[in-house]
Amino acid sequence: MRKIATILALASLASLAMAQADRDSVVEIDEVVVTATRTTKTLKDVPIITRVVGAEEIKRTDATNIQELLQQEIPGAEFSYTMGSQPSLSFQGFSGKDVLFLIDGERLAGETLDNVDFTRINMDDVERVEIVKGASSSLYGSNAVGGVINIITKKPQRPWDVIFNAKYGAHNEQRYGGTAAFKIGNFSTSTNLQHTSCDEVDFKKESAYKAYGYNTRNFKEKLGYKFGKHFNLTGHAGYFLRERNYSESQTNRFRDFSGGLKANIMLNYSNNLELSYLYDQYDKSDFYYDEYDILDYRNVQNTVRALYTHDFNKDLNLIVGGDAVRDYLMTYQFADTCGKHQYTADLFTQADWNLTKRWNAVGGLRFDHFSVNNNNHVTAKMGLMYKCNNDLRFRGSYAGGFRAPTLKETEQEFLMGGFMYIYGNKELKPENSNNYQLSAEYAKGFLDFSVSGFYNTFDNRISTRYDSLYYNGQPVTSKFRREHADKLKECEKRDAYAIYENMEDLQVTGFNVDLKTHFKCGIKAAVSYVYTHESNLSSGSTRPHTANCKLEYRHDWKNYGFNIGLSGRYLSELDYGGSSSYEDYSIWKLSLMQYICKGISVNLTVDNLFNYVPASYSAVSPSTTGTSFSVSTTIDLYKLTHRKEKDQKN
Amino acid sequence: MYKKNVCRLLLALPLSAGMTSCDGMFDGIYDDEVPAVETGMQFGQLTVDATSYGQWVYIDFHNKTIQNVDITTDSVSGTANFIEPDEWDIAIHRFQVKTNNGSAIETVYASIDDLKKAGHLPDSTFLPDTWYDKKVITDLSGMMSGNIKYCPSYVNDVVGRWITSSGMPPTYTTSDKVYVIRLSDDSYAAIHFDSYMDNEGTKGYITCSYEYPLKF
Repeated sequence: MRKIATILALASLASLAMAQADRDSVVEIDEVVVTATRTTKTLKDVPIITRVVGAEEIKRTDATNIQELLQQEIPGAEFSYTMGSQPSLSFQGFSGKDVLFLIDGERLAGETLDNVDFTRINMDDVERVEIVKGASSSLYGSNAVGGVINIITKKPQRPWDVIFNAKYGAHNEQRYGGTAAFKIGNFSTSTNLQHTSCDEVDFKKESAYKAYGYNTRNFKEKLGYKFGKHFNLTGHAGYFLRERNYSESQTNRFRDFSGGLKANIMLNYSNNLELSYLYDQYDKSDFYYDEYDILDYRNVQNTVRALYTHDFNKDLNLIVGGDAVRDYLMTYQFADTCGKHQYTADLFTQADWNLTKRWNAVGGLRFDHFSVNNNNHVTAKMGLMYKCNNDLRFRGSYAGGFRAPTLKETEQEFLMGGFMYIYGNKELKPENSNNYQLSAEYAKGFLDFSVSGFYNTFDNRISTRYDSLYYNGQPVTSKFRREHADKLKECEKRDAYAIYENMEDLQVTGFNVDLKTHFKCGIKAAVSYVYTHESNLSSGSTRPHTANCKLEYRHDWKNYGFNIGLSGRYLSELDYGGSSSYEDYSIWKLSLMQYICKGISVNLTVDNLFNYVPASYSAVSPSTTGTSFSVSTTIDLYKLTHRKEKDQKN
Repeated sequence: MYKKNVCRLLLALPLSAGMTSCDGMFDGIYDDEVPAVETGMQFGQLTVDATSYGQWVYIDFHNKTIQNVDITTDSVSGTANFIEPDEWDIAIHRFQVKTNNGSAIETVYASIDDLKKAGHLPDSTFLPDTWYDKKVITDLSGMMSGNIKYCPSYVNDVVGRWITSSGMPPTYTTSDKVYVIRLSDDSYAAIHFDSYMDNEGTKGYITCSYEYPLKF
């Protein structure tokens, strides 16, 4: 009954929006994106469907970090609290380790239970988020198996900018931050600071699940200088600290130090060279008794990249690039405290060709080398787009994906909880995926409608396999034990262990339907539905039906405007092969954004509008305790002081 | 000018790479050498190494001694064996506590000084130990195959309230209360559990404030 009600609600939102259609309506398909091809292309011209969440959308969702944003905007993106109450992503049949997160095209160091630290991505500093579903390893290498999420940060656009923002919400959630940016001649600078905190959320019904209280501090400095028309140099440095209140005598600390330099050299009209160096260090430490800060995890990535672009003519673009990466990992989960290294190198190329006015083809090839176990990998992609006219486009693509075994998966040797050893395996093969997509998109006037189908094959998946030397006193034989007898000598006294192995194949099939409308009268609506089916698994790990929807109305006067929005997400039941299942749910959010004197916005939000509380909390329950309220504000001093100019221009 | 700028850039990139350490920076913000916890009892404080599931740690308040005793399990019968010292008052196994024919109460006080300021023992019933066949775990290695080994033993549930755990991996919370233990010779010991791990976070190093004999 609840399912029907939810579907009816989603459908009624869409029909309400359709009923408001008028001829003057517009849909934004001319937005420029970079992730799908690593070159700038408009959404309508990009050969692989890309979902974009822009700055204004981010502002309206009031998301503090990427986790909150994805949950609200992308169907099938679900975050749960796994062991140790660490957030873990499930994304349309894939887990956190299969989705590559990038900031301005650069990967992030560090992980916890295979997920990057989502809280270190400060949404206040984000211009837009680009999401490309499916494999993209031919451009981005390892981990781009199930999708790429590229977070594009803001660049100084105006002579100066001073912006403050603050939020107060349930469980004493607080956020304070701001940006100061200047652009003087050829020089630009941007400084962003953010502080967040939240009390512990105890889900009460079961003591095993709770969200620990935390506070974060985030600093980022970006500098840029243009040496004439052809040479642009940018640099950035960042510091991030998250403190998690683990217990009365122990605080978990997560730190990140990052920095980079990037040079863009326009050699001539048709040749461009980009050189960059990136340093990213992610540390985890435990702070005991407010006195001793003990480092127990460190991941350092040094990356050097070159990217050359050549336009043969208006219709053929070629890119050639390469990366060299030194990856260092030290963790308490290794047998000794010495860190381990891995060196990777890659070369890639891509051609983007407008065959005719209607046909566009893109093809890419990449070679990756990994020093651990001397792994080499080749990935390819092909995409084809046919434009029937300006409004209707068909796309088809094949893309290869892979994920190389990580240092943790090859080197780990760790006694978990005092009862089970977990061993790495140097003989692991890379995970491979093949992604096939077909899509049709119609965009005209007020309407943007797309439907896409996808089929992913996924083999050599890496996971831990539990084994035991004895079961109820009886010895157990296994192929693995014969092959790894020397390794197991060390755990002879123990009768249980787990080891990383390549597991059985997996196929993920599904389709995605998106409907977006945007009218000049101020109404916006969007509905997105995804069906996902996993096969060859003894138990499911993803919810088959997920949908997100949104209905908004905006109206502006001279010095006041508002945007009222209702958004919801529905996730169907998750069935673990009959052994257990987790209920479906929908969560709705009502928000009222008020714009005062162009430069001030105040957002009032009621989250979980219908007070959904899980019947019992589990690792895959939404982390909600019921209806909650929040208020946030943003003050843009530049807009406030220049609103008369803006009015005159209008 | 243009070529000069390109040359500068090509120099800047490797230089900036060289400025950072490949194995990480800012090591100085962390503590390398953490003072090790010394076990023993003196000046009203005791610290025991109860990190092993395979040991009882016996405490003798009368003679101020601490002794770790191994628990062995017979491979055929599965019986747990250990040799108790001749004299002891309480014993700790990981976070569980047993008394030597004693009994205990939990007070509302957060320090022994506060208890003593009250001037008398709380009006509560002292509860003795309870026998458990399967409470004291000596070997967790068979957990995944349902083969956990136990040491049948008395355990004092009142003193056992000093710590609770939740979640996986477990998060521990101490009660921050003083416990009064009536020993077999009718003398009293007051004990407050201050911490359950050492300075590097190894759980099972238990530090307590205590007073014996407890006098008002």
